[in-house]
Amino acid sequence: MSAILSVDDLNDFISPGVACIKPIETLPVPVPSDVPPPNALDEHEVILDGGPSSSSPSSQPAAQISLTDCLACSGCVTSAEAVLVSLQSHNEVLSVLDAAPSLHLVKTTNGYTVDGLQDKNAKLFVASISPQTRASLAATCGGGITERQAGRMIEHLFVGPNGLRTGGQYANGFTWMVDTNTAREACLVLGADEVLGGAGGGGDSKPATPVLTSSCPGWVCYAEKTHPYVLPHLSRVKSPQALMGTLLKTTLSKTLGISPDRIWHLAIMPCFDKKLEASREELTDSVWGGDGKPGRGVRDVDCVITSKEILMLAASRGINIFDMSTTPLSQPLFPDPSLQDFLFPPSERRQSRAAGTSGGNLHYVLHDVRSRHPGSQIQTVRGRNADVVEYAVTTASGETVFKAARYYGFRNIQNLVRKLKPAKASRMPGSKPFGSARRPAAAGKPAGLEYAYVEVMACPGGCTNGGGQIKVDDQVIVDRKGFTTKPGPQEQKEWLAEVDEAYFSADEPDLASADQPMDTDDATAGVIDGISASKVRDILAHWSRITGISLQKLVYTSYREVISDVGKGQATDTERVVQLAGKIGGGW
Amino acid sequence: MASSSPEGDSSSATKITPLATFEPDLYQRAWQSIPHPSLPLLATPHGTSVTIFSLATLSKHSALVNGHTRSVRSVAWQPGLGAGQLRVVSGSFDSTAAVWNFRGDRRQGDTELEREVKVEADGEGEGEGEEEEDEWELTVVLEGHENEVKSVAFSPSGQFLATCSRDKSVWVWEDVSGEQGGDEDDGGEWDTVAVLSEHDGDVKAVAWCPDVPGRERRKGVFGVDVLASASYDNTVRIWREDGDGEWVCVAVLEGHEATAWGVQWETRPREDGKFPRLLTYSADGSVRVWELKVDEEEEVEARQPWSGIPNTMRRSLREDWVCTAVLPKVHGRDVYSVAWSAESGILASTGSDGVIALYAEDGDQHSAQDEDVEMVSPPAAEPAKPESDQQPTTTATDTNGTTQKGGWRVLTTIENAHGPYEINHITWCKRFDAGTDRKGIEEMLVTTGDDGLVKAWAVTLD
Repeated sequence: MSAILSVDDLNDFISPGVACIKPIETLPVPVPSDVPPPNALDEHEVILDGGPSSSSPSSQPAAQISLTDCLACSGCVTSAEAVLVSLQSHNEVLSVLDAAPSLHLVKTTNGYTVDGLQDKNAKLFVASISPQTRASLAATCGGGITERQAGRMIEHLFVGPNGLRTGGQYANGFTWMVDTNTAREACLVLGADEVLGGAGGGGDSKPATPVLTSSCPGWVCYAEKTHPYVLPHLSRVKSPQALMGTLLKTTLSKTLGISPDRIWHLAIMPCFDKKLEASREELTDSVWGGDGKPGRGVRDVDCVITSKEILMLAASRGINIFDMSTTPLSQPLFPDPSLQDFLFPPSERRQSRAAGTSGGNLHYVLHDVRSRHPGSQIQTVRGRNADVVEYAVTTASGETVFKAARYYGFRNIQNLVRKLKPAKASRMPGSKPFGSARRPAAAGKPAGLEYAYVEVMACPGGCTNGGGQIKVDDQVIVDRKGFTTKPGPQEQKEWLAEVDEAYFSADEPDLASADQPMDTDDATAGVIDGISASKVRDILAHWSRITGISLQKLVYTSYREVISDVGKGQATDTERVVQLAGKIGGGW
Repeated sequence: MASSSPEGDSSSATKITPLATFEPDLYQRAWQSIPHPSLPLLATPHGTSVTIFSLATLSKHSALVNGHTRSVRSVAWQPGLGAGQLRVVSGSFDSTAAVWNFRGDRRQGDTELEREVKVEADGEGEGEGEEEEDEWELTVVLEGHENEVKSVAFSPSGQFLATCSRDKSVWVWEDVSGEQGGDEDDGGEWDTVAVLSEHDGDVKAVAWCPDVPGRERRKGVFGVDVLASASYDNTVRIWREDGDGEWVCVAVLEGHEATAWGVQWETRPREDGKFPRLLTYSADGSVRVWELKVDEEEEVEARQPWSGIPNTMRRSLREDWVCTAVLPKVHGRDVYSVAWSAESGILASTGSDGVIALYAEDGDQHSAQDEDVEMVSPPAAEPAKPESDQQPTTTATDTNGTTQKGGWRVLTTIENAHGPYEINHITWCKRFDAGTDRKGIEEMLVTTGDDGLVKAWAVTLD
């Protein structure tokens, strides 16, 4: 789909740094032990990462880095794949499942409680799943399997009797599997309120205009480490994964009378960077249960695995995921009737094509604006590539009342952050300030952006193309498609189109032409894009009431500039070498 | 090393003779010297600055200073600007690329610029040194690379700029100021149009295919611009825009056994209108010649672009590049630079060993008749691996008569061209100095070395 895509599994999300600099801090200068050929001496390649050039697949001790370390370091844009995969993996899921018999839900006269607390390692297992993961699996199944049917297969694997419960030390499985789309609806309403000022009001501290989407963890992490000046623009609303995490931990601990660390919440996502998000100190019970400040408390999301890792999880228990049933599975009632209705809605909202495959934040905001201006129209202009789209809401009289845009993919994000960047003083004494890749503001052109909202996602094509999705060159797809050679960019494009198709697939394909824009706005009833904002606000108020925690603490989060202390203080040998190389002109 | 030199062989009429050393000595390692596409100017990065030399006086014209905090390794002149405008982009190890606009003597108007240079050419040189610091203004800084920018290059029209870095990525930038009538006072407005991260190692060099007729060969399939990048991962990759704003890797050229230091496109139009060939050169001491394979079926398709053929039926986004020759081995160490003359078709190579070598292609007019010169036949054709090994082409090239004449021969070599120092760059360059009566036509070679010298060499062909 994009130039940023390649044969590697991971490079379509914001690309990891050249290397994590953490391990290098403790390493001596890698001196090539073998005598290099004479010409190698002339390549004073400056290398920090022990990369291909340092000729040292040497015996470096395996570095141990936690994801929280990664978040605290600006050494690279995100962290290394190996770190992500090793710390929150399908293996971790299996080992937690095998640690102790799971807690069991018990109905009592005045509610619910759990059994098995005497074993200190016993947990209540809850999973939440993203729609993009269901789409990835549906496309992998092929044969017209819809996203919803794929979701049922995954439910059978995690919750049902023929899935994970067939094996393991204690035959444990998950008590519930919920859909992050439900939390998404709350995020959409809260997000629109933040931009437009609604009943919710948008929390205590409003972001600066343009408001930028913050549900993409790759983008948030990149902004925190590389472009801190955009942080005031980030939406304060939690991502659906994070909001679902807080919802489950707060309400279950309250209604069941157990500590939040007895609830083990697994999120299944299209994205590796969601593992990083789950490790944020801003998303723990320190915020909602402790002193209100970010800290290393109990995480709202304990573990994140990706779509691809579902296949690995099933395989390691000897289960063929494609054998799972597609029939609906009945799950136990959630111990709060209102939340039961919210988390397990009788009918699911259709995914509108115009909303895109990344949650539809912008789409919802646009529809909210349109509902406030009767007779207005949403106009769409494609930008320089498929991942840049500009939107305007124009009233019947032709007045433009709202402008917004979608910027997906790393290269397009570059152009966005550049426009938001304040001009710098010139490095040349006496010269006027210069812009970063743009003309100086003095040129008399409108500076900055006129957008009120920008939906930003790190992956080209959005979340269905996440780094954790099943890829066209994964063995399972190569086998199923019968590719005889390694698939290239064209096959990749076609595969992504199939995943997108699955994302929008309805249960009954002939229900209505999916290409027809659905007008599901009903301003008088407060229904926007099929979501009743008033119902969402009611459930949020209910949540706050039953947990006794302010909505502010439950639904909003914060961001911080990440300043690396690496390289400050005493210089390491490696850094001295780099400095020296710089002084003498460096190598090539 | 370099013992295969036919030097002293009196039968070879091709000679390289020292012409001049550009003034002044830079006293710092200098990395390359890039001639302006039309004006008698040469840009040489060294230290944290860039010196512009006049090709007329063979001496300093102006300088780009105070723009970078670490060494500047690469420069590019932006083509296609309005008359009298001069713009240079410099790529630096400080992880940025900088856009510079020439300010010197603006009020003299557009046509004065060239005259000014020519006046200096006549040896007057008045006013030299005054205002030197102000002549070039840093107008825009292109940020985005995580670390050292190694090379910068403009597409033939000046629309696209490519930069590459130790961060293993290639970025493509577009100058979008044109649409809004760019003010010549500013440095343009730049959008990032692609971040290409497929290389597994530092990307050492980027180069755009020149605008020769053969370039249009596959334009029905892709946008017209073609970019090549050379990397520490030993490969060269070819990139094109797929017609939908997406830049994709269409071929991976594998064959070098060490870092690919750079690439050089064939600049002389081919008589049969074929797509320009590509040279790659490496730390393995070799120089390889690559050719795009275009099959007939596709030719037809390309002539009727978008002829209603459904998307899925269109040619896949791949190109087949085949190594058709390896130049006779001259260099004992890394080959850092190769230049391909747009006039004579003669190649000049140089590198770590301080040797300059000239090569001619068999069947070309300059290959002369010396039978005793080492002949090199094309290697067993090595297919460029386009991501997958689809369509292995291990034998196909032999049947294609054109590849049979892929032999190249060494015309002459000289050793220690910069004394004991490494030579980082070589280029063909038009002569504008007083010593030629064919100004702007006659070609010379310019080498740039670790000794901080930029040397001009006359080449006498038979």
